[in-house]
Amino acid sequence: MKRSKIQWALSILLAIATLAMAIAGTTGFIMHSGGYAAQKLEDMRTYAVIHTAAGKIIDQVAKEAKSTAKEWASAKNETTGEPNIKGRDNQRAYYNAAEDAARAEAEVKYAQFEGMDLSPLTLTIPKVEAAEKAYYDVEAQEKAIYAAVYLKVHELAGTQSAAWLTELESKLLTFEQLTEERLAAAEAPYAELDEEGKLALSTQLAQPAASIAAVFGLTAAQASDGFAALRGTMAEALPLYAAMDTAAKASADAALAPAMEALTRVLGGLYGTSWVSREALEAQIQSFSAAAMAIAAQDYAAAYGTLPDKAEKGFAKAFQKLFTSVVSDAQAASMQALSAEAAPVEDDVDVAEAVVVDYVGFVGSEALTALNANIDVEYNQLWSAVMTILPSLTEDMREDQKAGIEAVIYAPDERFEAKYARLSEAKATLALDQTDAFKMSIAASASNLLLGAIALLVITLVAFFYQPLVKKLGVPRLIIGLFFVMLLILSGLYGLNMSSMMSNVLKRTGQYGILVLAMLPGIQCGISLNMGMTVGIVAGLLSTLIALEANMTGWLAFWFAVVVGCIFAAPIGWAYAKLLNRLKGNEMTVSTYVGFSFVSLMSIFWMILPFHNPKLTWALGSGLRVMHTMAGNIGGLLNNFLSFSIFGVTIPTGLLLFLLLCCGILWLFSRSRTGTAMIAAGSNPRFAEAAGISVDRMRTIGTTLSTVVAAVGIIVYSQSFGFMQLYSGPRQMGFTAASAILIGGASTSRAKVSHVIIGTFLFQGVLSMGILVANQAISANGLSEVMRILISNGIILYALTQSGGETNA
Amino acid sequence: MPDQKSFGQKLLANIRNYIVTYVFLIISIVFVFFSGQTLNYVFSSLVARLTRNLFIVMALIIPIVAGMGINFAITIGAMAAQIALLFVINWGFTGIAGIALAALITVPLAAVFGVGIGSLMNKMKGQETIGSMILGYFATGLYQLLFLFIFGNVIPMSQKVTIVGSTGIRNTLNLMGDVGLYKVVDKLWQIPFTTAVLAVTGIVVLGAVLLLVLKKIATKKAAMLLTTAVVLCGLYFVPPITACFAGITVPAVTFLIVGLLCLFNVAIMKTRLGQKFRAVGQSMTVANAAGINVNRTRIIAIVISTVLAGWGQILFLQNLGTLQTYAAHEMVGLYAGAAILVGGASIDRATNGQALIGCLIFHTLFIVAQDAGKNLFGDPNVGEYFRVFMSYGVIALALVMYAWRSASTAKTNLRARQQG
Repeated sequence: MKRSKIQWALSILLAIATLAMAIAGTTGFIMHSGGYAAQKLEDMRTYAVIHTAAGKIIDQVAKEAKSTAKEWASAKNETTGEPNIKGRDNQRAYYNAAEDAARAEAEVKYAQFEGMDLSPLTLTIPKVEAAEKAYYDVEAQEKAIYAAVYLKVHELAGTQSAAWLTELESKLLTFEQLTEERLAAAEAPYAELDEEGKLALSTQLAQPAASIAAVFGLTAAQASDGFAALRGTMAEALPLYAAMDTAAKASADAALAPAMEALTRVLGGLYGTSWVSREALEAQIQSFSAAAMAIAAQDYAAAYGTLPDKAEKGFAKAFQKLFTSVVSDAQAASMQALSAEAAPVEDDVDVAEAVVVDYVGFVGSEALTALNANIDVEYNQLWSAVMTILPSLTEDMREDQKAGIEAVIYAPDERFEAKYARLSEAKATLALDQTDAFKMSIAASASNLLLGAIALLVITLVAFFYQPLVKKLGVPRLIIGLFFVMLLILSGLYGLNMSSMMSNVLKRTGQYGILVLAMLPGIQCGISLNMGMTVGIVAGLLSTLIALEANMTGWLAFWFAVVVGCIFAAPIGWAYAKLLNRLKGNEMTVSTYVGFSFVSLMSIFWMILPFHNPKLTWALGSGLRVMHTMAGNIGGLLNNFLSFSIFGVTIPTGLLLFLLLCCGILWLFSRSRTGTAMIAAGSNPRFAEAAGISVDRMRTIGTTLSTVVAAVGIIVYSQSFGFMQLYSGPRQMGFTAASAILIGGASTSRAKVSHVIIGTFLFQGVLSMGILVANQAISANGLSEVMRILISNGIILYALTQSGGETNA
Repeated sequence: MPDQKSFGQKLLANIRNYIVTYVFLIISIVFVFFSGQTLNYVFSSLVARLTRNLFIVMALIIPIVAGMGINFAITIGAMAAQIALLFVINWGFTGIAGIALAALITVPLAAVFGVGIGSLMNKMKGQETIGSMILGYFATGLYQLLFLFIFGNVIPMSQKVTIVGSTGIRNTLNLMGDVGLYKVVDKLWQIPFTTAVLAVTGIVVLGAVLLLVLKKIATKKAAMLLTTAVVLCGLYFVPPITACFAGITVPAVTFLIVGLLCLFNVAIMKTRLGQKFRAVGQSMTVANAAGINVNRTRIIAIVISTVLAGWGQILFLQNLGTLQTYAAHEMVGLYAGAAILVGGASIDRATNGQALIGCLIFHTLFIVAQDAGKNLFGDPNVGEYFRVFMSYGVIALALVMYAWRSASTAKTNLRARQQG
């Protein structure tokens, strides 16, 4: 292996930087954990309080001394009638001398001041911090739920009717009320903050809310505006609904009962509880961390494909449709006018809106009032002590200085680093000499320095071993691998919740694993990436629907779906394999479009197949719904089976075991006689044919197997995801699976079980971490989606350039 | 030899070759019947849709001839056009100057993209169709990156196009009103349908006579052309048929531009470059042996196609009046590819006529599918899904038929070689 001089130089430079950063980080860490930094910080705080207060006091005293001197001088002039002491300049010098003398005297006293105990003032800080945290958590969660509800409203409203909307309206109002109550409760600790403190807090709170809303693809303002628009329309629509006769109302309501139930289930899925039980809901909200909410929300947004504008359009269209079908002709005309108004929230209304907290009319709790009074008492005691040193201080000045001192004590977000930064800004570093200040800043950023050192180490290693790595992994895989490591480090830097992130990655790995596994026999038998595995997915969806139609639940439903899905998938896969056997060399192109056509053909069948269970069919019109919730039937069966938590990471034992079981079966199969023959036929058909293996037969076996595994895969996916999506839902799933196995190290002609597991983990890991990190880095919509598109299609393109180039040239 | 065949045999052969077209023709007639729409509505919608889509469908022809299959990467050409339009709106150019400027900016953008697409396609010979499709998806990612995070942030843009208070370009850019780009090409010269029929008949008659005099075509063929043109024109003036076209105006300039593109597609095939396209399309090995730079020729074909697609998208958007920033390009490749295949083109053969006929049939189905679905199955969504199925299905069918045919040709060749 030859390395250029530049590569050597770069590697060495990077190595030195890594070492320096690691040493700095370790030192900082030792200092921090040794209590040095905390001690210094406490010193600084005390100093800052004294400095701010005393500095102002001295200024005031000096000013007063000057004016006293002036008064004295003019009084003297008046009494003696003598002209001024030799001209204006001398007079000014005299005044200044008086001021300086006063200042000197004050400063002497200030020295005494420095030794004072200010601890009573700082006593209440931890309590304020706790209150702050509680408020922050509640606010962020409410916003996330609010945005989710808004999306659900749009999604569901597209298919429902007036009566349903009425009920939804009332439920949402209840929810809003609930929100207000909770916010009010959370606001309690803040009642006594001054205006500046409130403002600072509001600004700070606006940020997480906005970034959570960004996860949903809309801003906080859009969410609330959209909701307001809906409510406005509702208000006008309700009288018209009321004007319907009883029979019409009754029949509309009856038709809508299942829709309402569906909403309950969907929202139930969202909170893991039912709308009916408010206590349970509240408890649930409290237990959700902001990060978990963001992940869940992203999952839903991705699942529904609800880009805001699509949702809004669908909403407007459906609104028109549903009113004309429920309401009489005369009413329809006015309804149509209304539906025009219900039309989408404009794109450009999304001016980011700061969360303004209005405290008008708020009354603090007794505990808070007491606490506040206590602060006042302590402050007054301190002030009296100061006044004994500096008797010239007045009572007015006491009030003036209060705000200044409080500002130093009560700023929100008191993490170690933030405290340091703020106190340094308040010029408190004067209390430290240069060495101390430098040490402090190292201690403040110790963890970031260490993470940075790890990142640099990875980059150094990649730079040094670039050639063998590229040879072994290929450029795209190297990039994705690096990306994975960098995301991990960034999550650390942003202080994201690692354990909930790992839980999510594990869940997603199990969720997608079997779908990815379906690619394996396809590649092994020589049909390349089986984009037509959607054929099998459709079989799995169909069998699950049959189980749901028969009202099966639990393990019975799951195993029924799996077995029947396999029975459906096998003949379809067999026929599909026969088609592919006649098209050697073009399988991937053909299978992609055959898959696409099959999915859209099935869309017609979803409309006309004779399903009758009201849980499955549209309340109005015909055909199956788009989304089906798995809650209450097979949802989470595998995920929750024997699942446990370790270090806060939830391990979905059943799901992972099932994945390993399926992988194991395919691995055993690949070691069997047939399996070996299949791989031989796939990797070198001519040789296999010469050795007496029927290539066509092996390809048929591989393709059928791939289709069957895909059918199982979608059932496992749905139970983990919590929803099943029909119509165009499965269209792109082949691509996701193909990208994952390619990332794992497979090529279009060679693949192993390990590629499936590694690939799924890496791909899903990058996606789920990427979403969170991207939202921290820039609060903008869609970055994670862009990332998914680029990674998924980039790796397939790379595989195509690696495989297609030579064969047909 | 074909001369010896009877008319019946010829018709059978024609039906066999164009089975897809005939099937879709029948479906579309059935659908029109069941949709309950008046023919006048269907025809006026059809003229509007042809105005929008014909150009971009014709952009597919050259890569097909050059053996690169259906170039689904024309979506990238469409993206180039949208970038150009964004800048034009941002700078505030209006009217025909605005459209001309957009077309001008599209050229270098699309050409550069085309070189990239072509080079990548040269690395995946034999997989161009799927490759170009995935390349289109990949480019969508880059496009979103550009429109969400670069424009409006790194490259400042006016508030006309950005989302206030957030990042990136708006979801919908309006081309109407003050922006002044709506239908500016279409409205340059609008003529009644009758005038258009007479003009087209006149051009065909003149052209046929001219070519006959110059001895470029056989007398028999010229006579057939003349008769067809005159009979069709005559048919049009039968009152009930004329009534079907009442009140329809034709944007003459747009169709003239499409006509120019047809001429360009024909003319370029007569040049040396066109010969190279054909040669490379027939066999890269042979072309290479004949001293043709295969990779370069393929890149040129894609560059032309990408630039044309860009212009096509500009024509499309100026007619539509709004630009769905993040979605307008997505379906371009699919619909154009499906339309040309419905017209009887295959993965390695395509002509202007096929593009025109394909567009006519495909868009007729588009117009009536929803209503037909409602009347036949009681649900408009069935028609909607049929429309999507039709788009994907015709592509799948064409791919299967092509793969089948080339497989059987290969087998025949192999057998011939073994026997000989």
